[in-house]
Amino acid sequence: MTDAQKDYEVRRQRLASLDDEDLYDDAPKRAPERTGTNWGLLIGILVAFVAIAFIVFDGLEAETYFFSVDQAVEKGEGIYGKHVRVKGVVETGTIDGTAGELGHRFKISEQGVSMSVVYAKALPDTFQEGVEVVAHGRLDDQGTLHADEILVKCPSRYEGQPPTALDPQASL
Amino acid sequence: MTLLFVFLALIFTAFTLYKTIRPFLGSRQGQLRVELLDNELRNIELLVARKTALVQSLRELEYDWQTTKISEEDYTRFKKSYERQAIGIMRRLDAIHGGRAWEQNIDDELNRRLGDINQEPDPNQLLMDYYLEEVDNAMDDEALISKQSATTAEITCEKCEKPLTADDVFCARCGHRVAHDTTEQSDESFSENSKTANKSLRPEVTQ
Amino acid sequence: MNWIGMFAIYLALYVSLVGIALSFVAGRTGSRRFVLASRFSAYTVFGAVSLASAALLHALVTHDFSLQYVASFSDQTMPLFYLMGAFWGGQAGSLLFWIFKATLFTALAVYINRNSYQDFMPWVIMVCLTVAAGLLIILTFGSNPFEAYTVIDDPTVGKGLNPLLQTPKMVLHPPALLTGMASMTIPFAFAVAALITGNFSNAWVEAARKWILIPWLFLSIGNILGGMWAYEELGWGGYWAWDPVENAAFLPWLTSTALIHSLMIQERRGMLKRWNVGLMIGTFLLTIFGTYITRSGLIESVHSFAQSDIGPFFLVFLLTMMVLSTGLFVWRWKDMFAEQRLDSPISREATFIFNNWLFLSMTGVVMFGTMWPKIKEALTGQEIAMGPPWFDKWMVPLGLLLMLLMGIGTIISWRRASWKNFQNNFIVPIAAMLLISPALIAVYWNLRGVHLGVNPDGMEAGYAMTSVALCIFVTATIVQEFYRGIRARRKMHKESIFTATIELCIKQKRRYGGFIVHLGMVFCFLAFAGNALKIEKDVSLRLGESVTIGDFTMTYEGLTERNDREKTLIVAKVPVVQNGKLRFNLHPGKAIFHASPQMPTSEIDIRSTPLEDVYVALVNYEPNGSVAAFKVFISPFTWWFWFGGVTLVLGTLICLWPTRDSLDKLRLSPTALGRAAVFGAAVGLVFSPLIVWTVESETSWGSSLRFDKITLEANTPLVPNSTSTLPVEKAISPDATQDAS
Repeated sequence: MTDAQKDYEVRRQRLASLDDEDLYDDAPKRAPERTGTNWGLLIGILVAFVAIAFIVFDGLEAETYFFSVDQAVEKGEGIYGKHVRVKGVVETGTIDGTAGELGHRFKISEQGVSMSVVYAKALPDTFQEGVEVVAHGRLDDQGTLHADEILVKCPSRYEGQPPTALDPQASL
Repeated sequence: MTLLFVFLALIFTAFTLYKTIRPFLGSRQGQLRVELLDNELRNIELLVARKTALVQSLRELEYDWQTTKISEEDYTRFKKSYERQAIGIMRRLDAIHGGRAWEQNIDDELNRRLGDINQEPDPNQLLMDYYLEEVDNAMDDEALISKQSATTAEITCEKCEKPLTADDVFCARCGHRVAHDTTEQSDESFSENSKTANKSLRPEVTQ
Repeated sequence: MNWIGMFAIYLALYVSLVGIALSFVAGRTGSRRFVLASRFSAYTVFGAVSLASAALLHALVTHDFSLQYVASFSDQTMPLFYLMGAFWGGQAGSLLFWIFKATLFTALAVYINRNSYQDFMPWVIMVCLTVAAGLLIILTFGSNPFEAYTVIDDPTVGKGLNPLLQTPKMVLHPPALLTGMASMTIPFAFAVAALITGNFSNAWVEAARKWILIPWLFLSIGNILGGMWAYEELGWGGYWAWDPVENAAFLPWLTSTALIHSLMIQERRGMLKRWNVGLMIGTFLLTIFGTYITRSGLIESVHSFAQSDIGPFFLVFLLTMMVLSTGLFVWRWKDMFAEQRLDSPISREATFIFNNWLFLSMTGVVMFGTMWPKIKEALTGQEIAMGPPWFDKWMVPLGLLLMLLMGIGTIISWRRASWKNFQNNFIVPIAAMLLISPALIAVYWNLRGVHLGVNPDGMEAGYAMTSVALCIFVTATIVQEFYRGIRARRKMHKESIFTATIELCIKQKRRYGGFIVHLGMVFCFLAFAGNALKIEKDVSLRLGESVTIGDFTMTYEGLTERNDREKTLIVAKVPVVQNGKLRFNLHPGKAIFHASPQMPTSEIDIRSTPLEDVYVALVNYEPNGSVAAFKVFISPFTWWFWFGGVTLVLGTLICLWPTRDSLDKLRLSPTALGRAAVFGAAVGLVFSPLIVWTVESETSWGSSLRFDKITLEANTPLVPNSTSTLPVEKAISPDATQDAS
């Protein structure tokens, strides 16, 4: 064995015997046990709690009620002047105004109860008699809905049952 | 076209499935051979990964220091701690690789180089210097690094006295141009050498 | 062919269950045989799932209508591109795609880390395979794409894909989101592995830090593409409506953004260990939760495409994951202690912690707004809705606060900020903000804004101006960082400015990539500020009539009808005049697919410039074309939102760009030229949406006119003048579409 090799053996042994202290210099020396109350955490939780409560109460104010026509009419004056969403079917023969124009007046109904809707903007092209729509807007004191948005629930055939040989366009 | 995908996926699945079962198929002897936990390799991987991470930390620290995002005191403290850790890791790596020829070469080189300084080199210090050098090499950005070791401490910036590496052209702190003397040649050959050393390490590691 | 797919799914499920057992043993004993076997079991699951995916793709491409899935989501006329879209267009297919991505990333993670994180990997494999197995169970027993017909029911034609989904963006949006959600499994697995082994050193943080950028990137891309699709297709002039399903994809994005920042603190200072593990678990659960509320039809939204009856499966899966991971978390609670404490509330750490709180508050707000209607309905039976104004009210100030922190966090010093640090780093950006932003706003207002004729109310204007000021502040901090970095490099290496910039981005990928991501966010906020001046108007125009909106005068010049095999197209011609000069012609239209005459889709025409978008949608028209109603939007700076999105993706790519080491691990060793070429290609790819966007905006490609080339001779003018020989009634009646088909 040459000197160099011997030297290496020695060094190797010496190095191998090193413990890991310098290797993980930042390694935790077990956390300092906290004494007393953890105020930071407590305050954090408190702040979070207050914030959540605030959001909830704010949310309660901001929520818009969602009715079907019969529910809305039933509520009567209680919801006049409020911002609501009303769901109903467009009644046949009640549409006033022509396609391509702005400013329409029509009636939506559900369970035999109906309500007039005034809409100042352009109606979506899927809007027609007999479809189900959702109108967002404000009710005036006559119970007429002044809508600022009309959504048409379109009967999509891309949902529902897969097609079959007898009915290739199922759920159309 | 899609049939080709199906075919490829089928082959791949069959192959990996075979490989999944294979460790349990061979003879008892063969299984044992697989079972022999390659602790050394495992350690090397761990250490190399840690080293890379540390080098990255060092690099970022250096950068934060230059953009004055860290106080002087913190900088020195973190840097020392990181460097100590890096050296610890490399010591371990060497302990694993001990006796391999490349380390011998480096020692010879170190001795040859340090012979010029005409002082009895302390082997421990030598090793330390070498490691620091290697940390710097790994940091890839030699100029960003200042060295606090005995060999290079004598080169400092004339203006702000920041320690410099031999191959710095400008001071990293104040931008003052560094006047160079004769150390350049030997320095280059040295870093050349340590790079080959690095390479000889790599194949061991990735196998 | 289909039996192969069916078989592959069962095989994947079986092997993943076996793999869980194997990796458990490997993790407990460290036995090399089991480690190897579990590793290959992960590959096998990936192989089997890709086999199933390939089989489904084959069935789609060959129009094999004996499969219910194929018949439900495709038909013969669809081009290859949309056939691929049909792969993830439906419930079962998208679930299969999710599993494919999850196992793909599992296999990648296992392969890349085959020699590192040895203590973790068996557990990582176990967690990934558990997730895969859970999803595979849902796929097998809940909705199997290889469900076949009984012989008699076999249809000869398919239903086709929903026309709303037949646009390139919609083909790419779901896979981007699904990839994002699926790849969230990997960092989650590392967190759980840390919990199982009880090793909370930096190892899991390092691994998670790298892997979480991938889901983050894909979630960002997915959300942006979704926004683009909504903007271009749905015709309400916006890209984000706080729709529950959008929110579902936004929630994990928020928490993972928070996590990316807080992981940096743990890496640097060893703090926030519990927080990070908790946040990681929360993020993963949110991805599953998002899928659950989308799929179960729990909440109504525009995304009703994908819902079905597998909701309960997802709920069970979600609850299982929640119980298991929370249990582990609580079990290890004591072992996760911070190594260091916060030194000062004025430091980078504190900024990051505050940023995390903000992200979490945003998550809370969005979560509340999404879930409250359902909770309330369950409690009182009263249906309610939370409108976008409520979300805006909360999210805008939170977002602005976040911008402020983004600027501060970039330049504040670690541990404890000193007066010196303030002098060094803050003065220039603050001065820039105070000087440039009023000047910029004044210049814009006088040169452009005033012509739009909008007077935003005090609140909106205040928010918009704050937003602009903060944008300037953040940009100034980033520019300062780049400037200093470049200066340092140039001093040391004598590089040109260009090389120095490139080298900075190469050598300090994470840092400078991160800055570029921040810059992307700045652009997005600029776009949000522009919303204050947005004009929205419904107009009804007679033939030849004009309307002036902002300073754009639009004239309605009639409709034309075009027919082709798939659809009837109604195109309006609207020339736009500005300052007495004809600027461009817009061609908004309607497409009526013969397959679904009930569902016309809007072909919106948008002229997009960095200054503003002119957006016209044809809403409605008199059948003879004498009157038509349009929705018109003039939205300033919307272009910057897309540009910001692209910048964000570019920044993330820089962060993610593999180092030489990681390429070695992949056993790839391309030359420098090769790397540059690949990077160039990636950058090109990143910018391609914007290029496409611009081309679509500037040429007829984006408007309904793009169908012109095919069907010129079939065009029928719909203008009702006396010389027209065509019966006007032919126009839009359903019979016309019948004839054409």
